[in-house]
Order: sequence, then C-alpha cells, then structure tokens
Amino acid sequence: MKDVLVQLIKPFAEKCFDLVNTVKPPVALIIYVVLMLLLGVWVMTLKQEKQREDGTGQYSILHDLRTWAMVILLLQIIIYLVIR
Amino acid sequence: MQQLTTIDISVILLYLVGTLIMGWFLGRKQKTSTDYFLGGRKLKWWMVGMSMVVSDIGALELVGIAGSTYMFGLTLANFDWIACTISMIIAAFLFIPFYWKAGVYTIPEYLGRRYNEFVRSLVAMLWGLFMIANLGIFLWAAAKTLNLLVGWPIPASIIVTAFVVGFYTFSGGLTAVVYTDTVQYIVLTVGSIIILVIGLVKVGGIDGMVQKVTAASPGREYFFNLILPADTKTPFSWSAVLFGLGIVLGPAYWAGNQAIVQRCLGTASKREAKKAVLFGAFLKLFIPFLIVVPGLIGLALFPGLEKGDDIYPTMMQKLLPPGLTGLVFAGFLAALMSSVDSYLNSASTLWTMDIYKKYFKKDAQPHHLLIVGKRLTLAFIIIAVFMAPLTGKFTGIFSAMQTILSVFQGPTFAILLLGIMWKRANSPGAVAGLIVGVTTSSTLFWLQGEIFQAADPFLYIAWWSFVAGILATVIVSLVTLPKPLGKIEGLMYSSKG
Repeated sequence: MKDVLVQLIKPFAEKCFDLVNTVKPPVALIIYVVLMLLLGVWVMTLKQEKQREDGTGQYSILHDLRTWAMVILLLQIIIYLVIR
Repeated sequence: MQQLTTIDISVILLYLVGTLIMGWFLGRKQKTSTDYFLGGRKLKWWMVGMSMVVSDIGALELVGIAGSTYMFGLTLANFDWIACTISMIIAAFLFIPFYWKAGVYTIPEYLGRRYNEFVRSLVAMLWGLFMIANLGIFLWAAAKTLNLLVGWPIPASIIVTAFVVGFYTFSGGLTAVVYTDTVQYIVLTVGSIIILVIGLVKVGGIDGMVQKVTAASPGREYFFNLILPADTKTPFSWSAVLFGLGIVLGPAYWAGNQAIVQRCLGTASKREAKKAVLFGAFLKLFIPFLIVVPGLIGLALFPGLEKGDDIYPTMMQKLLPPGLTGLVFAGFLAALMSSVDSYLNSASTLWTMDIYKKYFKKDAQPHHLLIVGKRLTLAFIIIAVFMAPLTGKFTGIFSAMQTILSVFQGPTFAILLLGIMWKRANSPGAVAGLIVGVTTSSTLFWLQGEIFQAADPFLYIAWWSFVAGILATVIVSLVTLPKPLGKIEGLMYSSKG
C-alpha cells in the first residue's frame, strides 16, 4: 500500500519541488515583501472608523487601527530587507 | 549544575507566591461562566496583547526555538516574524471581530453556528485532546530544564509546576490567566534581556558571535540567513516557511487556536479585541531578538552540545552570576506557566461549553458551568502530570508540538477560512474538508521519508493538508445544498467590516 501511494504522489512532489527550487532566496525575499505590501493594501481598503472612542465624530489617523497595522507591516518589511 | 543562592530562591519564591495570591484574589468574586471563561468581558486590550504573546512564547519556545536555532540558525526567527505579523493582522481585521460579535465562548461554537453541531464537536474534541497533550509537553519541558539547572527530580518538578499553575487557573479562570500573563511577560522580557546582554558581552558582541558561529558550523553559511533555498535539508526552506507557516500554521494559530483567541473574547468591545491583537503583533517584532539570538550566542559559546534543546538551560546555568539566575529562572517559569495556564483554561472552556453543555446539560446555568469548568481544570492538570513523562519519546520538544499541530490545524483552518469568506461553504463540505485534510496530513507523515526532500517536513504537510481541506470543502459544498443565508447572517466577512 505504501509503495503504491509513494508511486502516485512522488512525481507530483518532485514537480512541486523543482518549481520552488527555481526560485532563489533573493526572489523569495521579494515575494515575502510583496505579500506584506499586498496585505497592507487590503488593510487600507477596510472601512475607516468614523467615531473616536470618546464619541466625538472627529477622525484621527492615530485613532485608526489601520495606521498601526501599516506601521507593524512596515517595520516587518524593514527587518526582512535588512537581515534577509 | 548550579546551586541557587538565597537571593535567587527569594526572587523565585516571591514570584511564585505572588502569582498564587493574585490568582486567588482575582477569582474570589467570580460567579458565572462568563466571569470564569471570558474574564467578565472586562479585560484590558494591552494586557490581552501581552498575554497572547507570552502564552505563545512559553517554555516550549524558549527551549525549543533556542534549541532549533542552535541546530538550524537564524531562520527560526520566521516563526515570530512572517508567521505572526501577517497572521495577527489578518486575525485582527478578519476573524476576531466575527468571533467577538457572535458572542461565542469558543471557536468550535462559532463553527457550530456556521456549519453544524457535528463539526463543532469534532473540532472541539480535536482541540480539547491536543491541549491536554500539550500540557504534558509543557510540564516535561519545565521539568527537564529544572533538572539540568538545579538538579530537581523530574517528577517533583512536574508536580510543583502543575500545582502552582493549576491553583491560580482553577481559582481565577481567564482573568487570573491574563493578569498573571501580564506579569509573566514583564518577567520573561527582563530575564531574556539579561541572558541576551550577558551572552553578547561574553561572545564579543554581534561580530564576535558571527565569527564564532561561523567557525563552529563549517559548511553552514546559511546560519545567518532568514530565507533559505528550497533545497535546504532543514525543515525551513523559504517555500515551507511561506506556505506552511505564513499561510497555514500562522493564521491557524492566531485566528484558530482557542487558547489565543479566547482572551480576545474577554475584552470589552470588538475594537478593544482588535487593538489587543495588533499590540501583540507589535510586541512579536522584538521576540526573535530575545529568543532566537540567544540560540546563536549559545552555539558560539557552547558548540559541542548533542541536543539543541539543552542550550537554553545550559546558558542559564553557565552564564549567569548568582542573583541574576533567580530572575532569569523566574522568567523561564513565567514562560512555562503562561502557556500551561492558557491551555488549561481553554481546554476547560472547550470541554465545558462544547461537550458538557452541549451533550450532558443543555439548560445548565452560568454558575453551574463555572463549577464544571473548575472541576475540569483540576482534572486536566492531573492528567497532564501523568502524561508528561511520555513526552520523553520525542527528540526535540518543539518539533513534537509542531508535528501534532500540523496534522489537524491545516484542515480546521481551511474550514474556518471558508466559513468566514465563502457563503456557499456548508456543513457536508466542512465535514469532508476535515476528514480529507486530516487523512492527507496523516498519510503524508507516514510517507514523509519517501516524498519530501527536507527532514521533518511538517510545514509542507500542513500546507498540503490545508489545500486538501480547501478542495474537499469546496467540491462537496458545491454538490450539496447550501445553508440558508438567513442562518449564517452575521457570521461572514463582508468588505463593510
């Protein structure tokens, strides 16, 4: 049974491995960074919070949780670009 | 083996006794299941954020990540960076608001509303059993370290740790867990900074560390790379990290692990819950400097260890002067206790709300559920004490936990994600997704040596079981009747948030 399963799965596994093996670490780094940037774009498309916690209608960028999410993402991107 | 001085013992005792008193004090006015399992929905966001982080970096991570870093290098930082940042932001904006708004106690409860009660029960059982097994691993990790450090017998260490954590968790529920976790975060951070600073001084700074690690690891130039090529023999190729960790296990943990999510449900509002998770993501940015870098320092200073998991206890033992040992040791205990209390409280929540209330006493009153929760807390810590010695079979505590996680976390995350994102996902689809996903991961584990290039390919297995779960859920959902939209209203994501 094991041999049968291995014969079935192994060719597919090898193809997948060959595919990812063509991507070298510098390109993988770009993929990581782009994914984080895309996540940031998604976050910024989310609904803006119109009301502050104290009930006033005044919008503040510091009050907006999306701002803090972007700060975290940017810090993370910097870490990956510096350390790699 | 180091003898603890009077100052060390005083610091440790002060910390332990303080924790016990805090747990008892916080629990004395609790009356209902909401008080016990959800902190009365009064928990502060910054405490919840700290609690999430310290629960994640328990003794398992302190020992295991430092040990894996000793074996595989800086790439372990990915477990706290790409695996957490992306996942926690997604959790904050996509998952947590739904759980909070639904008013659920547990993730299986949410799945039960979205799909059906069978899915709820199956996931509750899987998580419930996993958490109890994890408790045993945590206790074992602590006992090994205590044995190495101060020569305490392993059985006695297990029992003492179980008693302390069991007492305050039993007494105060989630409130005690979060409050003690906040203290534990501070103690752990201080202790870790001490080890980091002393270690860097001894090794000659960053340059000295790099030089010595390079000399100690011939042929392992990748030790200082975050991103490894796909053909690395380690489990941490860039593709395994991205797909298995960043896309599956990371989000599955931060959005789908009851022990983590439950504390967010104890905040006062949806916004507070989001803030808590984002704060946790921010704190996570600094964790690799406190945990991964010491593993590299350890390799520079003590290159000949046979088992990587021994490096953290070795550093505590050999680097620290009397006086500071107690503080760092308290930090280690803090890390251990924060994970045990979280899993203990969450296991009790799952079994009380998803099994007991569902199948044994549907009309149970909140006070009755509190009592049941407390009794289950007691029962589980006792079970964990007996299970702890079984952990010795696995080489590498960290890998053991990740292996167990990756068997079912991929499939459960698959149905959770589809449940929130796709209205067509239905109950037969979710059941199929779970069964196919777990079968896939189990099969791949069985065949791993014949199929995968990397040793210990748990990240790839998590990814493929997630994919299998997604495919099975989608296919079966499309060929079966959809759930009426009215029954899933409010349980799904829309761009309106």
